[in-house]
Amino acid sequence: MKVTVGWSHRRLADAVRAWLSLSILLALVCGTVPIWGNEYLMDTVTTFLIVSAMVVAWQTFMGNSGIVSFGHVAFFAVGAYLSAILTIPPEIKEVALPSLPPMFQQVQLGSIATVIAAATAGGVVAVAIGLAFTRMEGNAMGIATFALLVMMYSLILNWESVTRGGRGIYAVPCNVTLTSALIALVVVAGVALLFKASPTGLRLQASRDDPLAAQALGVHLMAVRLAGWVLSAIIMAAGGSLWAQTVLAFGPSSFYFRDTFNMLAMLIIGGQASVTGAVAGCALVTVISELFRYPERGMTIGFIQIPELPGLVHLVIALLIMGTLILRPSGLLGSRELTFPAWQWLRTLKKRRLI
Amino acid sequence: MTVELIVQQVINALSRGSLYALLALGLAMVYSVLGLMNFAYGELVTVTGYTMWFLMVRGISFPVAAVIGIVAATVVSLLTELTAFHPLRRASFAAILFSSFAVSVIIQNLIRQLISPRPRGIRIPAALDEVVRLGPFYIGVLSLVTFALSLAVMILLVAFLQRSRWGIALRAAAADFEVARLVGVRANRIIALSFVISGLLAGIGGVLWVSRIGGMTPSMGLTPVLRSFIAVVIGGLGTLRGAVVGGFVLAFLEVALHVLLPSWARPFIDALSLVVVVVILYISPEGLIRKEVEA
Repeated sequence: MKVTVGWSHRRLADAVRAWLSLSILLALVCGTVPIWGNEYLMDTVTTFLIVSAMVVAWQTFMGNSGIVSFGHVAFFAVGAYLSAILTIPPEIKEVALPSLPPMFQQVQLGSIATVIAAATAGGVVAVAIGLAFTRMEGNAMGIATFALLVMMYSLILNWESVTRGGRGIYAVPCNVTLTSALIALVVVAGVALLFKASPTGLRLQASRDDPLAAQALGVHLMAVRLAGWVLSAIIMAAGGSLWAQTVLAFGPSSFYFRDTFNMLAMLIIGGQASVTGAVAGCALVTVISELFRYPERGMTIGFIQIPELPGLVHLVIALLIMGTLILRPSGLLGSRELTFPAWQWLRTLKKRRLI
Repeated sequence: MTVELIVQQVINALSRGSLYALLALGLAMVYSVLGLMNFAYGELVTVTGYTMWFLMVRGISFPVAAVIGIVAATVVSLLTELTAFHPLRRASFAAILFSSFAVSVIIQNLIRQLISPRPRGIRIPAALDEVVRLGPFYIGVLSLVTFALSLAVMILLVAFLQRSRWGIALRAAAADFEVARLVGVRANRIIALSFVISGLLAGIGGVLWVSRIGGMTPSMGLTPVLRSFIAVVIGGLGTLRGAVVGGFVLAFLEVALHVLLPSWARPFIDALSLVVVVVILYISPEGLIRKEVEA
């Protein structure tokens, strides 16, 4: 007997509600940012929105499948490098990347076309890798993703004709504003919430909770894992594309352990099974990083001289991960999504026939 | 290619392989008992290195510094068990993995703060840098020492695991943790013991590693943990014999690729050996040497 699952109306309604609540909250927060008139704050919030989108992408796979991934930064790298190649003006490419294939030498695409190209590329790479990875047993796949991270890093570090290796790539045009980053995150959160509530998402969650039972009920383990993997890679690559168009210059070191650690920290602290959790974790880690960035460089408070404390930010984040894992293993939000109580008020009002 | 060159490369691979095998054993030791791929394992090598640097700039001789460095790695290994992994006994595979990732970051950044984010170097005894001539072949003293020391440690370890009460308990726990507990093996002590042995192996491997490269940076632990990880996967996750085989296979693979590949492709050797890892995980998640299942 094969159990087929259709769209559940209740889950869909919950997803839409969570999506609206999250979008409204994000819009409100971002709406207040320009009031301060602080460039640095604007940049920080824009980066936060884009990184959030990527953490949500990571969540789409890890939260629904329950399989650890250390390799998602690889798709981030694919998106970022492809976007750089597609958007850097040809005259700069002639100097910086002279041995680029002629096909890419002359192109310069707009922002949206670039994001679409990056997402497609991420998807194609994810299908190729996923066909091999998703056949593995869950923990083995987790270990294999670790290999993916190191392979991708080694590839971009050494493929000098396309990535300029360790020297890094520069002169990516700045195409992303606070508004477009906000729109991107809202779209991504919608897709992630929709996937979580979709029949495929539910099957993937079933395979997370009990792979054997899920298979017995007719869930094709490999197919649902591949679906989650590819979808999350597509979003990741799109996020990487937007990221490249905000930071403008970057090198291979952005796609290795440091950033894997940062984004995983956001996901673990916020709650792996929740889209809101991913965004909340990202917000929390961003705030902490900003707070501890000053003492990291050393400072003086009154008569007390605090020496330079290199690596303080990461130390604090790592301790936070340990604390979360021990005290609240499923993260701050667990599997809950944000829902404004306004919906409930509305329902009570309806029940009482007041509107 | 001449025969001499091949023999020379084989000697090279044997020395490198014995070091990889030693380090991989430490990683496999914890994996076999706890099922944890300990990311923080590489940091034990870093701890050994910095302890040696700390002592040697204060005029303490290399051998003494090396011994204290090994002790430091062992202590740190046990401490990570007690603080980071013990509270997570019932947590999922993923949670313990994340925890070890966090531990690795904590140790790295503590070193950045307490010592320095910049590289440090130590003076390796001149005797280790010399080259011995054996007929037509040249062999570095360090390679010989590496090979001999690794072999000696492995033999001691095997003797310990085969003969002593604790060693047998450890093997029992590695074979089946639940059943081992049922027959009276104390879980926490055995896990602690596995971390102690893991730390010892990382320390000894660390001394040899540091002697090879002569310097240390806070993030130097990455390469040893990566190599051990590859060796452990090649050899079969969780079997000690497999880790040793995996270490040698990896070293021969690296040396062979280095000799056979054209120079532009050499930077990709790490990526290629990881492709091997993925292929092995794909074909059989248990690795080349399967864990023996007794009927």
